[in-house]
Amino acid sequence: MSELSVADIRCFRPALVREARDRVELERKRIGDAMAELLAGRPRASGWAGPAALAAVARNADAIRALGEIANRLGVTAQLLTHLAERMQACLQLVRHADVRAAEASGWLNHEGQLFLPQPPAYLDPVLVAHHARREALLREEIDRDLRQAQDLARQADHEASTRLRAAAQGSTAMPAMSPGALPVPVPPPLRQGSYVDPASAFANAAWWRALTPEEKGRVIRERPDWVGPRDGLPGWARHAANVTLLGRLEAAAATELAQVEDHHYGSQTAKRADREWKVQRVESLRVVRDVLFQHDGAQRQLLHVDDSGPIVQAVVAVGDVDTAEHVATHVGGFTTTVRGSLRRIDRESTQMRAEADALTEGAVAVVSWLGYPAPQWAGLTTRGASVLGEDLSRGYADELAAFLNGVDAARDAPVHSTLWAHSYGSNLAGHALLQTVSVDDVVLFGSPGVPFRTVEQVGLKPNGLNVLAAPDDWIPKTGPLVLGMPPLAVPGARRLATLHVKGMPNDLRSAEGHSEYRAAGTLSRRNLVAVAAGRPDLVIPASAAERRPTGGVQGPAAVAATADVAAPVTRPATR
Amino acid sequence: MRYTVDPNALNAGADHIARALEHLGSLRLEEDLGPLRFAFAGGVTVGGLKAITNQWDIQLSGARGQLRILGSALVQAADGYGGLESLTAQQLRAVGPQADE
Repeated sequence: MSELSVADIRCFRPALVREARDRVELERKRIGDAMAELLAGRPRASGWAGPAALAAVARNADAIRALGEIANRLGVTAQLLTHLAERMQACLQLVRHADVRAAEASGWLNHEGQLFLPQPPAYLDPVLVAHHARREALLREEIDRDLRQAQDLARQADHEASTRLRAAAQGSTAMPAMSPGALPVPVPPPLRQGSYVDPASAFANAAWWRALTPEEKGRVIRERPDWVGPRDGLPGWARHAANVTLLGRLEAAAATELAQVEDHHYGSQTAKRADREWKVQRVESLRVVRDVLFQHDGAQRQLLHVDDSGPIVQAVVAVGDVDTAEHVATHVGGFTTTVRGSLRRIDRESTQMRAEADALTEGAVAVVSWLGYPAPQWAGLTTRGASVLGEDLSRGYADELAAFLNGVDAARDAPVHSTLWAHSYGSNLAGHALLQTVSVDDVVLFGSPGVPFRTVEQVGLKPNGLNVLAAPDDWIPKTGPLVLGMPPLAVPGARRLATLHVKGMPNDLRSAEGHSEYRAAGTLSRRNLVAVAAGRPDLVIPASAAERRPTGGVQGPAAVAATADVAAPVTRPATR
Repeated sequence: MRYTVDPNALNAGADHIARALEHLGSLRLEEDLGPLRFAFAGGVTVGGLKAITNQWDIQLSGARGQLRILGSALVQAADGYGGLESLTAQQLRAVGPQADE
C-alpha cells in the first residue's frame, strides 16, 4: 500500500473531486434520459404483437435493466467521491490544525510536516527551562499525532476508494454488500496498549475525531458508544452522549447479574456473600452516577467516563462544559474515595466551587470530579498493589489521569487553563501523572502524603505552578512521606498556600482543620483552590509565617494561635 | 402463427433507441474522473484510475452494443415487414387484373 506523505496531503484538492462527482452525477442523469427513451419506445401490443415482438420486448427490458445497473453504480461512484472529498478535507484540516498549533508557538511546519520551533529564550531560571521543554514536548506530541492521523486517514481513504471505485466499475458481484457508496468509518486508535494508556493517545484520539464527518460522529455515538465514551481527547458533549448510553447498558447488566446471584452455584456461602456484596455495590454505584448526573439543580453536567470492569466502579463527572469553559479544574480524590460513597459529596462541593470560581473570573469554569481510578480502601490496606501504603496504584493509574488531562485540552480548538486539584493519596497519583507529558497549567496538592519528584523542574510546571495546602493539624502530610515519597512542601519551588486563618486575612474565611476540610465551604483552603482554578493568582492567599513555622508535635489552629499574628478563629458556618 | 405489425411503431421504437444511444454516446467517464489525477495525487486510487475508466468503457460499450443490435433489429423488422407487405401488395396488384382478364 502506497504511503501518502504530508506533502501529498497538502496538495489534496477536494474541490476537484467534488467536480468529478458532479460530472459523474451528470452522466448518471444522461443514462436516466436514455432509459426514459427506451421505456417510451417499448414495443406495444397494439403496434407489434407476436413472438418477435415478445423477443424485442425482452431485449428492451434487458437493456433498461443493464442501464439501470450502470446508473446505480455511477451513483455509488458519485457517493464514493463525495466521501473521498470529505476525507481529503478532514486530512487537510488535520494538517492545518498542526500548522496553527505550530504557529501559535511561533514555529512552523514545512511542506513535509517537519516542525521548526524558534530557539527558546535563554532562561536563567531552570524551572522556566523545564516548563518550556514540557510545553514543547506536548506541542510536538500533538502535532505528530495530527499528522500521523492525517496520513493514516489518507491511506485508508485511498485504499478504500480504490477498491470500491474498481468494484463499482466492474459490476455488482464485486461490490461490498453494505453501504457500497460510503467509505467505512475509520477505526479509532487503540484505547490502551496492554494495561498502559499512552497519555499522548489523547492527541491521536482527538485527531481521529476531527477527521470524522458530522454524520459519522453521530453514527459512531449511536452505534459504537464504546468507541467514544471512554476515549480521552474527544469533546465532552460526545463522551457524555455515549456514556449515558453505556451507563444504561451497565445498569441493566448489573441488575440482571444481581438478580441471578441466587441461581448461581457458589463454592461457599462466603463466596456467595462476597459476590452478592460486589454486585449490590455495583448497582448502587451506578445509581449514584445517574442520580448525580440528572439531579435538578440547574447545573450542566457531563459524564466523561463510566466503567464497572475494575475492582470498583469508576466515574468522571464534570460540572459545566469542559468543551467551552475557559478554566477547567480536575479534582482527584484520595484514600477511601468511591463512587458509591463519595461522588455525591464531591460533586456537591465541585458544583459550589465552580460557582465560586465563576464569580472570580469572566470566563466560564468547569470542575471535573475524576474518580477514574480504584482509590485505595481500608480493605486493601495490606494488599500489595492496592494499598494506600504503596505507590502501585498511583503509578498504575497516573497514565489514565495524564491522558484525561491531555484529552480535555486536545479536544478543544481554544486552549484551556487547566488546574489539577489532588487530595491525599490522589496527590501522589497526580505527582506520577505530572512526571509524564501532561497538559496542566496549575496544580494544587492538598493533604498530600508525598510526591514522586524532588524538583519542580522534573515536572516542568511554570513558576508558582505547584501549590500546596497542608493544614497544620493534618497529620497525613507529616507521616505520609515515610512511605509515599517526597513531602511536596519540601520540593524547591513549591508554593505553600494558606489553610490557617490569621489576622489580616479576610474575615469571611476560616481555617481548614484536619485532613478532610480543604474543600469545605468558607475555608481559606477552598478559596485558594478556587482562585487558582479561576486563573486569579492575585487572589491567592499565601500561607502566613505562622502556618509556615514549624511548631513541632501536633500543630493545629489552637497550637498556632499562640503565635502573635493569628486571629481569633472564625465561627464555622452552620451549613456545613 | 398470429401476429400484428405496425412498421411505423417499429420505426418509432428504433428512433427512441437511436436517441438513447445519443445520450449514451455523450458519456465521457475518463474525462469525468480525470481531475482525480491532480486532486488526489500519490495514492493507489490514481494509480488504478486507468483500469477503472477502462472498466466503465467496457460496461458502456456493452450496453451501447446491445442497444444497437436491438435498434437494428427493429429497423430490419420494420423494413422487412414493410417490404414484405409492399412486395406482396405489389405482386397481388400485378396478378389480380390478369386473373380477371
